[in-house]
Amino acid sequence: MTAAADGSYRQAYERHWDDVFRFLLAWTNDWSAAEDLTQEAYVRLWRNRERVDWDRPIVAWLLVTGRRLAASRYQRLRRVVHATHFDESWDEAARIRWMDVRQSLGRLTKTERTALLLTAVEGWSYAEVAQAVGTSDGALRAAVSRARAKLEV
Amino acid sequence: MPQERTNRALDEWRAIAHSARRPADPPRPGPTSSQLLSVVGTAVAAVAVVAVLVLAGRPPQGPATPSAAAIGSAAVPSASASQPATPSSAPVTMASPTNGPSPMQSPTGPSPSQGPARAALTPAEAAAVVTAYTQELVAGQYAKAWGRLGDASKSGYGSLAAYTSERSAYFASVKGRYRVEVSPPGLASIDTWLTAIPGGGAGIDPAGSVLVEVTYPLIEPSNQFDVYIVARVGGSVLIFIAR
Repeated sequence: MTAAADGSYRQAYERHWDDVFRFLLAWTNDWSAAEDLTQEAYVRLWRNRERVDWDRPIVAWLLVTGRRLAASRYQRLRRVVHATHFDESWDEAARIRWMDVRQSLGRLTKTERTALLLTAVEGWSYAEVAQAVGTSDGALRAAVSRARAKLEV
Repeated sequence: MPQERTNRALDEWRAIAHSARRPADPPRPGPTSSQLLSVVGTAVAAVAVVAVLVLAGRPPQGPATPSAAAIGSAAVPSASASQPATPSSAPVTMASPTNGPSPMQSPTGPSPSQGPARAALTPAEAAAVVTAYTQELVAGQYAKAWGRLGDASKSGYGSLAAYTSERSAYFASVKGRYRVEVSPPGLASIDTWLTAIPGGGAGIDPAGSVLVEVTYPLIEPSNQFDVYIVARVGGSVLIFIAR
């Protein structure tokens, strides 16, 4: 059982890390926070590896866990340290580019930003994003419209 | 309706987000501290049971020494089981200098082994420096604020231009509202925050430094505070950005 769970865990890491990171990057608009939260979500999965139902899509579990960790992160878990403000491998041009994008997207709410980025860039369905964000399909569509309107102002 | 700005932002975000690289190995943390305590507790309980059995099986008039030896050796595995908790025992070792001078030390002054006198920063000094720094950011005096940063924090940004770009965007939303607090409760220890500084905070003496948090009430909760370590380095009081 342990070996099987270990294998499933490794597979979940390799298969879904990108999705979890990008979801949390969209949700937080913060590179370091997204990295930390992704790591923390996988730590939770590792600690629960014997209890989770591996027959169900584990990515949904990771996304909801990551979102909950983000909600509690700064209020109750201020012990978490941000390692860096940026990806250390970036050059100055990349940093400035990221800061511009971040500033622009920072005008959107979390839901608007996540809804727009994940549907328009990542190609997720409205239903998939709605489940991860914890809202309805209709509310998510409205959020995408608002996000586009805000960015054009 | 053309959506040039939106599409540009989406393209930029795609390029940047897709540049993220997954660490090769997934996190596989060891047991939590509560699990460790459970392991240690179980080991101690096992030792106690062994001790009771040994004592119960021994004639009352027998010497106590052999059973004590048995308990001592049985305790060794439990001690090694708690080995991952070693960092928690470190402060005990570090605390020894505060125990006062030993009888061998001269009563007239510090022993040579205590090293040079440390000009520790006071909380009030640290708060004043961070307040001045924040006021400069609010006022848009980025070069002046930049001058207060330690080299490690400057290297974290790369350049004054990058720093100005990031801080000006952020402080546009701060709108002059902030609160400075020295070592607020609930914040991690200064040693922990040192690890967030590029280079691991090399050259910063945690014992002579002060942790200061600045919160911005008008910023969204997930991004509404900065944490600084204020330290005296080479005669100057410098700010190191920990978060």
